[in-house]
Amino acid sequence: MSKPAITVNNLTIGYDQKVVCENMNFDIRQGELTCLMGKNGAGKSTLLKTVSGLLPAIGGDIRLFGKSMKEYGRNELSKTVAVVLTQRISVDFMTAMEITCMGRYPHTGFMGRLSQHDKKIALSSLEQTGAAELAHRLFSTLSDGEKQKVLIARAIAQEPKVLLLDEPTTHLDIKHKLEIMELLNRLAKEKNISVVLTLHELDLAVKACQHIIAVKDGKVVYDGTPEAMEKEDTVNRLFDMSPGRFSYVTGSVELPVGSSEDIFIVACSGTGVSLYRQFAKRRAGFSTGILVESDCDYPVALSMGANIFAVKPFTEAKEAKEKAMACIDKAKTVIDTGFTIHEQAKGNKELILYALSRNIRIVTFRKKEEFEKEFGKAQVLYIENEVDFDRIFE
Amino acid sequence: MSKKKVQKSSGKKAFLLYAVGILLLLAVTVAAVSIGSVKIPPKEIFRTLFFEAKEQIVTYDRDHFEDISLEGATGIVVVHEEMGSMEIEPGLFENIDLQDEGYTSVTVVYGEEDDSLHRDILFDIRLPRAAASLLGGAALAVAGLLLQIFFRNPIVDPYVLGISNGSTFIAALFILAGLRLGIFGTGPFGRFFAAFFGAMAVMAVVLLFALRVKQATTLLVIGIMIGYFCSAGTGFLMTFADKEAVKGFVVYSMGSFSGFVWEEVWMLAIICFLSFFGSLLIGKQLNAFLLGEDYAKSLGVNLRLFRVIIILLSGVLTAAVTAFAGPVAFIGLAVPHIVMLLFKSSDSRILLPGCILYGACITAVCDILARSVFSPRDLALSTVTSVFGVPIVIHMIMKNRSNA
Repeated sequence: MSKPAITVNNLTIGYDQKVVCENMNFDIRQGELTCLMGKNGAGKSTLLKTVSGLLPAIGGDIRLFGKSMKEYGRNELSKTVAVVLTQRISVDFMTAMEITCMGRYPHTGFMGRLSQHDKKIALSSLEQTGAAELAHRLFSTLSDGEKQKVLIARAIAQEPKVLLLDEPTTHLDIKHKLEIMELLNRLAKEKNISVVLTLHELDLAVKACQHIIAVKDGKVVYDGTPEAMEKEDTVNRLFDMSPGRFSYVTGSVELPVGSSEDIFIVACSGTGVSLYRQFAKRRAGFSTGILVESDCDYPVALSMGANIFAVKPFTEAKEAKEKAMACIDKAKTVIDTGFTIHEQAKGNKELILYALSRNIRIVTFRKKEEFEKEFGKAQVLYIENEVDFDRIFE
Repeated sequence: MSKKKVQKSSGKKAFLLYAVGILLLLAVTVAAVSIGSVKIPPKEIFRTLFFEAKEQIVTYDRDHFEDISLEGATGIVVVHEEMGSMEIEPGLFENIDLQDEGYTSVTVVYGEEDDSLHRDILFDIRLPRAAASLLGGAALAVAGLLLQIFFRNPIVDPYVLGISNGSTFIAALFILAGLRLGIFGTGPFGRFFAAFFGAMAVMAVVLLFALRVKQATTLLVIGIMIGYFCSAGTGFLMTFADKEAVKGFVVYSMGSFSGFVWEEVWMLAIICFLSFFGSLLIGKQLNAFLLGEDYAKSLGVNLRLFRVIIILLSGVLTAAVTAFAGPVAFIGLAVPHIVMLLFKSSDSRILLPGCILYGACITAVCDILARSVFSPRDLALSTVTSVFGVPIVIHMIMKNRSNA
């Protein structure tokens, strides 16, 4: 655990006299990525702007490296804190290098003349962000991802000890999102600077950051590691979602379907995931089982809010099986996803046999010979390709 | 990456463009001096500009028309506010109706040759006017550049803060309602002081808001509103003023560099050069504003202070030009863009000298056209600058659309 770079004491933030968040207390450490989390309008950007000194605090105190921010001079503060903001920059004739050199502002003299040293630092900042080959391109001709790298290079050129970024990954494709997060992580480690950012991508926050601070209803509601968030189910509470909606395993959410007892999907070992999603897109509810909680079917079905029959891994499925059978009794259609028949999936095989015995309509994704080998000859609907999918609902 | 826009050695290119600008400046000055209704051969221009004339000349202004003596006169030049200067045979002088308010001065040459007559035209009419148009153009271009950078808005011009409307309003009070401001009103600079005072008053109001508002764009709206308010006042005055005065006022409000005297030129020059110097000193901060006020603040710029400085510099430049020459359209809007496209740079430290040089040249050329195309009638300068500026601005807006 490293030293705190920023210490926030009893801080109240907001615009003019309109309070957005109050009574905030937290530390931000050096060499770590800290993510500010919260709904739109919860005050993430306000907090970021206050900590960077762009917005005056309404009350309380922000200490940077043990010294109150109020005691920092303008120039001293800009050598300590650098920002990357969301606002678009529209300059017609500035190269990436010139933009990066703007970061040297607090280090240059009265007329802002750049020394060889300044230029070297700007160039090395571009190299660190992987934007060195863009140096002589005009900023206005760059793509969003390239622009973001140049803006981060500009901030690094400022040689700050704290780097604050407001939604640095928004509008970027998935490749650039990863590159930016990797870059920030590396900067935090190599330069031992503290990186504070806001993110809308929950998965990136959980996967790439060491520290999460969550704000809701004008208060800090979480301050700790992303790993410990799961225990209190912080993400779902933060975004007012029912438990299980955000899956810490997949790091994402699914479209909600709700439960329905008309259709029962017999799945396990990940065979259900794509089928569940097709149901979700058709807004068709379903029941499913018997899922092993360690399989990936489980978090997906849970996130959708389906009716689930599940067992803990390596335990007997007896009780779940009985409940599932009761559910199958009421179902109009039972779907066999074509899971591998093995020891753990024994209960699932029994469910299909049970459905056959009760004369319930069965739809299967297996080949005919395979199905007949496992379950014997029966009147079932075979689905062999995507086009046939609608026949489930006939 | 097929469309790689690479910028090469911008420093060298900038110096080349400065050199071209300086040469252009000299050429335009020579043209401004040579072109006019009185034909003066180039050899004579050279001789009169650089060598002393031997002949006696006497210039009589409006208050001394009774004292004109024609004994031994070989040439006469009369100056009329609207018609410009005219050379007249001494024998025909009595046909001139000096009672007409429009005649401002009569210059009589006594001696063998009419060198000194031409010398008078060159030195007292054409040169001051050329100098004024050069200075005024440079001032408007710099004021426009400062505000375009400050507001990060390409279609902002020096008049956007309502400064010219304030100036015109007080000038209207002066011209139409006969307002006199204490001791200043009686001197030759009466109208100038009135107009300058109006501009400064509006600027003071804008500055008060500049200290309070959070966003620069809010200031833009406030400036435009104050401008409308002053225009309303001007409109009110025009409704109740008499016809002749309104005509004079309309001519003033369309902008012109005619009738400049050396005292006015010197005054304009001092104001301009001080402001240009000030603008060059804040190049570093101006560049920080290019990224927006938030980034500028995070780089350590004292936002309030530089807001005030930028508004003050652009305001004083605009006020001085407007007070002397009336509102001249489009120079402050179009020249910064032309310079930016020419220099292919957004660096204010490169663009400022460019705006001074090219703003001066372009305005002087427009002024030459204004007074020579329909000679001896002067066109209002804004009509020429608008014809010249409108296509450029439309081109720019269309180009921005396709970029966005």
